[in-house]
Amino acid sequence: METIQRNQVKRLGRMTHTFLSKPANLILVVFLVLLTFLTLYPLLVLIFETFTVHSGREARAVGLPRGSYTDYHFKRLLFTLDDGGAMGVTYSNSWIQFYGPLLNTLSVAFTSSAVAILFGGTVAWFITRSNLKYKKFISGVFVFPYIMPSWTLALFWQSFFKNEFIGTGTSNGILASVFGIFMPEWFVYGYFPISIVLGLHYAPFAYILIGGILRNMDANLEEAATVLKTSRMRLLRRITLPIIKPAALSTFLLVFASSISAYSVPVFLGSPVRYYMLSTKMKSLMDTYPGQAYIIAAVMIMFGIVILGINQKVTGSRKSYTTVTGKSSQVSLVDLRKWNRPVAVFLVILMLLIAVLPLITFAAESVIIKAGNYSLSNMTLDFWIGTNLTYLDQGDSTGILLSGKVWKALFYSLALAATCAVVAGTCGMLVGYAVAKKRGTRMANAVNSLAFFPYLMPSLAFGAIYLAMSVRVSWLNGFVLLALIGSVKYLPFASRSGLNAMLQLSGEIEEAGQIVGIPWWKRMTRIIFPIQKSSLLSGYLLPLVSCMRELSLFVLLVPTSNTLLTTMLMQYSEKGWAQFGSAINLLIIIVVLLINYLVNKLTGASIDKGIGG
Amino acid sequence: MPEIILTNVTKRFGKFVAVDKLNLNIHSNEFITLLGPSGCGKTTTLRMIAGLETPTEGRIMIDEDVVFDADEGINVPPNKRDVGFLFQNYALWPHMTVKQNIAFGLENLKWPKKDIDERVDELTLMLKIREFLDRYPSELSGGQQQRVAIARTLAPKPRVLFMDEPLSNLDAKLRTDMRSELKRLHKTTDSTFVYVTHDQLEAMTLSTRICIMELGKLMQYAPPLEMYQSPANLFVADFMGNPSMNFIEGKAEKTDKGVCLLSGGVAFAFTPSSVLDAMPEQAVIGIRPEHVLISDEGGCPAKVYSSLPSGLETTIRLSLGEIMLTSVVFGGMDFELDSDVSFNFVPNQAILFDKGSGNALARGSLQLSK
Repeated sequence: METIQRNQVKRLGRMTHTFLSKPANLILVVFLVLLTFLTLYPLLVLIFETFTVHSGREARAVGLPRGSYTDYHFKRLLFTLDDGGAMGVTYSNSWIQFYGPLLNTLSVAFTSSAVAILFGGTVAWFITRSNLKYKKFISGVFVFPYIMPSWTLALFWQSFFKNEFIGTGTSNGILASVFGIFMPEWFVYGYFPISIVLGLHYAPFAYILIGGILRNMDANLEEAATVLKTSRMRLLRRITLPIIKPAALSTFLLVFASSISAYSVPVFLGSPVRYYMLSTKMKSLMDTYPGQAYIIAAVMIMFGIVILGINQKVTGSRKSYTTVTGKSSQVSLVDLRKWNRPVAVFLVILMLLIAVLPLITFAAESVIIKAGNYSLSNMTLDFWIGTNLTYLDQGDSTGILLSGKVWKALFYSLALAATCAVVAGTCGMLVGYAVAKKRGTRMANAVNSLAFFPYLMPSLAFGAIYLAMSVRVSWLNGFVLLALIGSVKYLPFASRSGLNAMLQLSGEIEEAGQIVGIPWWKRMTRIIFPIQKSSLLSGYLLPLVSCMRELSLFVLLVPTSNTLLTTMLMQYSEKGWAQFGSAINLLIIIVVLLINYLVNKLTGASIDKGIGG
Repeated sequence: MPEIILTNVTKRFGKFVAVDKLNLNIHSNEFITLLGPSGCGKTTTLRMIAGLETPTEGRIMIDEDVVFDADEGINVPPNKRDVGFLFQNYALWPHMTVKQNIAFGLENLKWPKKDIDERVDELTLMLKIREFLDRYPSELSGGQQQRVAIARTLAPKPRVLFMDEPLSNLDAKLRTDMRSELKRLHKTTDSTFVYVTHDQLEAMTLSTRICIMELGKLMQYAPPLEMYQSPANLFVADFMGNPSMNFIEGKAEKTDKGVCLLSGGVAFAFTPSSVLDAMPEQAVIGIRPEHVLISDEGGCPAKVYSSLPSGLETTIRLSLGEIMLTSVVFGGMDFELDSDVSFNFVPNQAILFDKGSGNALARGSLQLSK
């Protein structure tokens, strides 16, 4: 009997050894554990926090000591519909703090998704299926709105359109002071501009994803219909649109999830008129009633989970990975004829407005002394390179290019972005390799879903959770904390581009190396990586660029506002130091665009491939 | 020299059984072909022996070493099985030159540089790709790429060489040339070859023994000519030979001479040349087209349904009432459609099969019943 038992153990041991000696299996096991800990454990902490009393104002309001259990937060946030009132006006805490912002969030999310798909999809169609002029310029500049921080457009919108009659009404923007045009409040702040700006920011998603499908679409599909005398409109409706439906749906879900968690745009364009969304509410509640803030975070995460589930269901079973076969079928382009020039010019102007004009605006804002006065006599380079600026009763005493703390923040931001890029990119490549190799198995599906989950967690909520976690874990602070959360947050895209890159590679390429005994690490570095270099490096580029311009993820976790360039910018904006703010904003954008350009030129990696086009 | 033994090897993908209790014994220096239609499990079997796929059950031994045993939990990785594998799509590394592709495996085995260069020279000379050493795979034609792949596989002198449909991507003429090259290669390298193909002509011309599979099961394992002349069952009989064997199906009745088969209004008499034990209810008689002889007179009458002359041989379809028979006539003859001919069956070349099990029961002579 004992021999049988011993043999069983030996057999199990051998099987486990064989199982783990395959790198793909080992990677899946390691990441399953790691990701569960980094995504699910924080979730548990969050839920725990929604039932806990925190110190300060909250403890006093609840009437219980810090750390005790309570359902006060839920009651107050979700179920307080009548707080009594004054002068005939009923005051409802739940409506103000939760349901109102929730409604705003959902309406903005829907609208911005629609804008993104319509705009991005239409431009994608024009670029891939028609003979539009200036294609190179338009497609090159189209990704800019995504590379630039989302608040770039928001700040630009505000600087351009603001005037003294609306909002906080302190000064006139460019349109008001130079052209004398005063836009109404609903145009400059609130639902309309937030939706537009978010839609424009995420339009590149739609462009890349939908454009990807359109580019690979066999022209024969449309030609067959044309031969049967189908009208162009009908062709578009009944053939082209159904084909891009999966990509359009995927984009919708991604943009929807991103919009729900957007923070910086609502802060700049919503808060001045008290138009709150879940994200901005959460931030303000964080300082006063953290328990309720955590509930909002949980609600936002719940949205993310539901969206991930829907996305998996829609795309999971019919995954079509377009492998580059090298046999490209003829693509016949639609001749736009007399519409060509007008459409092309319109798009070029639009792109200039969205991508280039903001930069000019910030440059202008950063050199004027008195706000609202754009004459040359009012301009100075002091905010950039000035010293001993005591005549200003605000800001620092040196221009940003000479300021020690600005350089310090720049290097810290670069170091953080580089670290996150390396960690997220490498992990993404490993996860992509393992999931591709073991696709179809339960473990691979689990790791794939877990790896994508952090993207759907709102950055601010994610930050809040890690903040809660950092209290418990002593070594989790400072650079380590920021690098960790940055890496986890951007792992989804890195693993997606890693997975796409690996799926394009035939398994036989690696097996040919396996058979002659090439060890795994050598196969990765000498065979797999060199072949798919540009796709894999794109998995590094996206975290790099995203981290440099990231605000909401880090804002709760930085030791001081001067740690990162982005938090510095927010601090300056809040203080009303417009010129310094604009200068730093411009600096961030230039750095980000430069990095993107350099990496693209040197390695062929691109944001396109990073998102999965 | 190795002997490969498969014992009860099974591979399941979920509920689907790809390979079903396969027992196979490959002697050293053989050229074995795994033959069968798409989805029969031949590539899966090949990959299992090489170690690229893990069987669900069974035991595999190479040269008295157990390389896989489901019960014992033994699973030796492919690089330790000392085998070579030639992929259907060659799997050449596109970012390495021909020389680097061939040398990569040897560098990994820590061969001294001098030996590596010698071996690369030897192989590229043998395979006539010497002048391409510094080219990249994308700069070579299909046939050249194929030979580079062969060179890469042979470089570390593996004891067994596995090939997964290596000729299927080549054009017809090149395929024929490469077949003779492969046969010569087998002799010069003195290794055991295990070859997968769906082309029965390739299997016939190259192998020492063919292992024919269908739906994961072994149908017959025999030398080519034996398999051709004495197929073990209906599947093998139908699969081998081009044009395919004629099958006459019908209800069988025992007579004092042998068996009488009624099919399509025509009565056939089958006289077995060996003892016929069991009498099937529904029977099938098979006879190859080359054993249906067209004669000028003195045979059974039939009408020519179609005639396809290829120069070397002419394939004729004959209609006999409701029965259709295929005949092959060698030489450049052509026949007029709907003309009358007479034919005879070559004696002792018909095979009686049991329709239910598909098994071959006996060999014998076929005649038309008067």
